[in-house]
Amino acid sequence: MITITSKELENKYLYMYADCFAVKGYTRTLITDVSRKQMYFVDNSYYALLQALREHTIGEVIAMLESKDDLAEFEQFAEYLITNELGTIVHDRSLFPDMPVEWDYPAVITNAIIDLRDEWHDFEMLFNELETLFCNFIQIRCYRALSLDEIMDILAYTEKKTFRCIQLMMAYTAGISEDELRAVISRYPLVSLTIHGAPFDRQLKNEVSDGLPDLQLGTILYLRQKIGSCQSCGVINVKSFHIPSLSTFMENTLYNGCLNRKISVDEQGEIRNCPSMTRSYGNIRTASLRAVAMQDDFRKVWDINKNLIEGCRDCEYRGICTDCRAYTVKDGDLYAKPAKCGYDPYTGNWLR
Amino acid sequence: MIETTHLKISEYHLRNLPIFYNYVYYNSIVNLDEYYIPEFSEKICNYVTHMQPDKLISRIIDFSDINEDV
Repeated sequence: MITITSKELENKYLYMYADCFAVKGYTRTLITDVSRKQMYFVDNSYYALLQALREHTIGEVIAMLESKDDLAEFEQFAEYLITNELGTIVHDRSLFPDMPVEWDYPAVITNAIIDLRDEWHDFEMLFNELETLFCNFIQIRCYRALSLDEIMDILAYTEKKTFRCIQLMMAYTAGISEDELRAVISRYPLVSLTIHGAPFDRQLKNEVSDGLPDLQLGTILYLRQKIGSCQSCGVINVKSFHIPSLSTFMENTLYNGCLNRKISVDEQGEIRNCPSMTRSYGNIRTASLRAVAMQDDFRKVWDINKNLIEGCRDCEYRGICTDCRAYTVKDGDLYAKPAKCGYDPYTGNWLR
Repeated sequence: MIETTHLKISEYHLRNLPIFYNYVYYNSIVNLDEYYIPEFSEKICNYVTHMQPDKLISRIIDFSDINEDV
């Protein structure tokens, strides 16, 4: 138990660690510990207190408090911060500089979506182009079932590529067994599979041999959810959140969490920021991904951070949410609240 | 004097733990939270680490619909 009013703490500082970020919303403040992947909700009055603690000693902050009740609350809050290892007492605040809020990544494009249905894409060309853009993560969303041959045809072009992960989604078919899917993942360890429209929800477990999991990176996830087109995208609910790394937290703060450094190819081969967005920048048959990715016009949406978006700018989740600009409450308005977000920051309630 | 035991290292640990683990004696081996599978790429003359992205690439899966047991 810490006694914040003790004489020996008077000239010291209550310091919140640099990897813990307080984001003030309309109704409450969210403190995110990005290293430990924990979230803490506190009243907005504590946000003001945290701001004061950045510049003032504990004694100075106590002098600012108006009543004994405030002092008791300060004491409780200090205990809360220290107990949850969100902060500590320091002698010299200047020795603990804040984390600079900045983000960059050594890639023109970090992630890509390729939609697929009836029209087959030239995956060899697409993967070659994405590799030259240093793209790490690719999601292929097929709205129909794929045959095993088709899966292998696509993945064959990932051989010797520098991609970190390929997420392949496809509709359920009873024609491909679990063992066959496991064999795909074993052959291509950078792949994870999502089978939608399945008769059950199920994630295949790893079978471990000599400490080596057979699915390695990849998971095989069966979902009941039917994904018929890109119109299923944009869902924001409490279960879709996870606490990001420091890097992604910074990216979410400064840029658009979904669209920044993303390029997409829709079912017809049109190049877009996201398959659900209306504007096309050309077709892959005639335009190169690199040429599109270098256009200033294409990059404009990358900078739409949540401070520019109605509703999101008052939301305490804005550091961890990746947003959606394709479906907004006002059709075509890139700065309106995401239409499929179930959270109301002005009441602090999630809609069912 | 601490007594140590030379444990057998699995192939998985050999791939993922720092190389000095091959040369020290130890009593326990740390467990890894996630699977990072490095693969050497001659193209970039470096290892490529296979890993899931830190953020969702798209929001097409409705996680609230998924059975809790999964």
